[in-house]
Amino acid sequence: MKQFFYRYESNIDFSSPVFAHSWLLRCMPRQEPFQRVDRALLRVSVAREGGDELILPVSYGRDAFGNAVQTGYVSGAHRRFSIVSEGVVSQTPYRVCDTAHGMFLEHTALTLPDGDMERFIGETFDRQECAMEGELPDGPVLKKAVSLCWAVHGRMSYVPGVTTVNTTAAQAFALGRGVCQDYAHILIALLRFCGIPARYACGYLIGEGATHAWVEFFDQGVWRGLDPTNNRLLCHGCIKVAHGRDSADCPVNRGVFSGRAAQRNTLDIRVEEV
Amino acid sequence: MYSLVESREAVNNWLERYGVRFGIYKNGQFKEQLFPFDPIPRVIDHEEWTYLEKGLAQRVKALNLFLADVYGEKNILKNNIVPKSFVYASKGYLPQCEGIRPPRGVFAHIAGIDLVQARDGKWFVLEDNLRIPSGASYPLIARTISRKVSPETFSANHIEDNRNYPQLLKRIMDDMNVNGGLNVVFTPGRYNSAFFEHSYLAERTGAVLAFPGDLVVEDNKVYYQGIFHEKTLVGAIYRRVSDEYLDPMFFDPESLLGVPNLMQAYAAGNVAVLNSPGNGVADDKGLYYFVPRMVEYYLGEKAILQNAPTYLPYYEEDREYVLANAEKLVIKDVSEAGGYGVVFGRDLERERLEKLKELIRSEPRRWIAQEVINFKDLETMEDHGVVYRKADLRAFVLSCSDDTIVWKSGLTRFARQADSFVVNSSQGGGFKDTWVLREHQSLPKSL
Repeated sequence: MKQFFYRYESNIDFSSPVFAHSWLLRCMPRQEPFQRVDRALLRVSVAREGGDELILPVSYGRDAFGNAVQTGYVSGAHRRFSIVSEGVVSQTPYRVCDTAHGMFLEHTALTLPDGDMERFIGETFDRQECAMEGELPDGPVLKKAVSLCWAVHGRMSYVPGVTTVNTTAAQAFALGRGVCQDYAHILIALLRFCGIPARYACGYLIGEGATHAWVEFFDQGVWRGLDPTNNRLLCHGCIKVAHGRDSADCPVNRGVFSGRAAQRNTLDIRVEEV
Repeated sequence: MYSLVESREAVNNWLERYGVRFGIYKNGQFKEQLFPFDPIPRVIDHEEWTYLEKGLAQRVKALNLFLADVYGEKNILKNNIVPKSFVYASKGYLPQCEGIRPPRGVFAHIAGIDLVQARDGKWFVLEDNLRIPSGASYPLIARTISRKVSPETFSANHIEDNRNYPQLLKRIMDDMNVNGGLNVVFTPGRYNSAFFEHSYLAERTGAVLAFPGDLVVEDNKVYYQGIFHEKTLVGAIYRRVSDEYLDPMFFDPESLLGVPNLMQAYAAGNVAVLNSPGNGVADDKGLYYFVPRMVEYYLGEKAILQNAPTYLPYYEEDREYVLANAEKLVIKDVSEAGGYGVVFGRDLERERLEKLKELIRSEPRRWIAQEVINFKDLETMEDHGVVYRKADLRAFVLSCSDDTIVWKSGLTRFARQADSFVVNSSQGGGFKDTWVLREHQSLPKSL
């Protein structure tokens, strides 16, 4: 068992005051068989016109995927919206014993593969090569998943700024460039096409300054974490916050407000082993 | 009766004054048109109605149990009565609703079941509508006006009074209301095709008509904020906004019609939403095929009402049949509604028919095919006299925690053109009142 401290801080500055602001966050760790939440604190606040800070009440709930969600509403005008989520989790190696819901076999708009991707699967299996660090458990599904992960990692270059949150797996694949979200969508598309249940997972990774996204796939009663961006099977040190069919099911922060304002976001994430 | 038929114009004028309109979007333009009323009613005698009533209540009970099962334990999928992929690939299935048990366990509070009667008198269900079925307000107001214009018609015939619909609807809303707060009819606004209905039903049930922006979620509870921004707690929302626009936090993030965080308040049991989000999985044109099996599975009874003979190209045997007989079938795209995406094989030129067959081969899950039912034509009044037109019947079934009530009336829609089978209001059809006769009452004498 290993213990990790995490801290997520996000600030949104608005160029002019906004009001009637509803928000929904997924920024606190999930309780999972491999991840116990020992301590978790959340502080959501806004800075009002004069600069004084107002701490907002938070409603805690769960969404249909079992992710912890935090919601709230602030009616008054404000210029800044701030979130600090921090705590400590204890982890055993990454695995979730569960069943696989049928929805994780169905493609979504973001994970629908195109012909090029389908051919890519064939080429990957024909080559039969695969390189991933560390000791790997055995099994046909696991082998397939790991070699697809390796292939996606090899095919894509990590380039921020060329894709958006709405870029589909097929678009990112054709581009050959993208960020962790795109890597994850592509791998999910390939796995589902092969009949392997797969879902999108996200959270905080040790050594990463932004939220990270990876893939979970299902094999013989167990969901395992596979990180195509870093080409590895996950074990310790990634704080899992949410999972869903694709990224649209697990945004960290969604908000709706009134006002005409440009937004500037700053984000700071830290994960350390205790 | 004669005096009512004579008063066709008068009734239509009154309907116009009350703003009974139906909006349609054509080529991106919003157009409002009158919803033409035909004074010759569809008449259903007591015995026939008793049969329909039983069949409709049975069907809606099964559909409610199916919804609770699909978003809950999933026994019908585990037992392979309905294939999993049909449910999970359905556009109407919303993963965001998994595990949510609505107040008192009711999913489809207001169901609109579309039926047709064949020439031999047999009834068939064509479609279930469990999301936001519209139409009850039209026969409701038409009856109210007809009774004023021709009171003797209604004293001479023993017709079930249908003006109790608002009371029934209010009873359902009150029963679902979780906290004694307001009942609200939530409309997308005045450019919705059924805006007349939203405002009329709100007025008649004593509910508040809420527009986008009027409802806000604070502390995980829903409030109505009036023009002075004082907030009133809401207990039940009869929403006429589609699922995908209902909550931008969970569904279409671009939606300006929705209530942010409504889904969280609903999941926590802090508000009732009528009908429940996610119901589309049960009225999906593909799942329709399985409804008689749902009746048997959940209720242990044979289905009283029949489906129109339907084929699912998803099954190989059915696919072969559909491809070989496409010319004589109606083929429907399961993802479309409102009479769109419905084609009669016989109307297609050779080339387009082949194209359609190609689509059926490549995406079999997307289509269903049905035998063309030769439905009974109904007498309809035109300026030059009586003509015969195709018509369907939308029956309304209301469900609360301990009762399933079939409204003793319904919306009869008819095609305006002599050869048309498409009766949808969005395709320019007209409507009739539906009379249900009381016991021991024979059909009215000839017109």
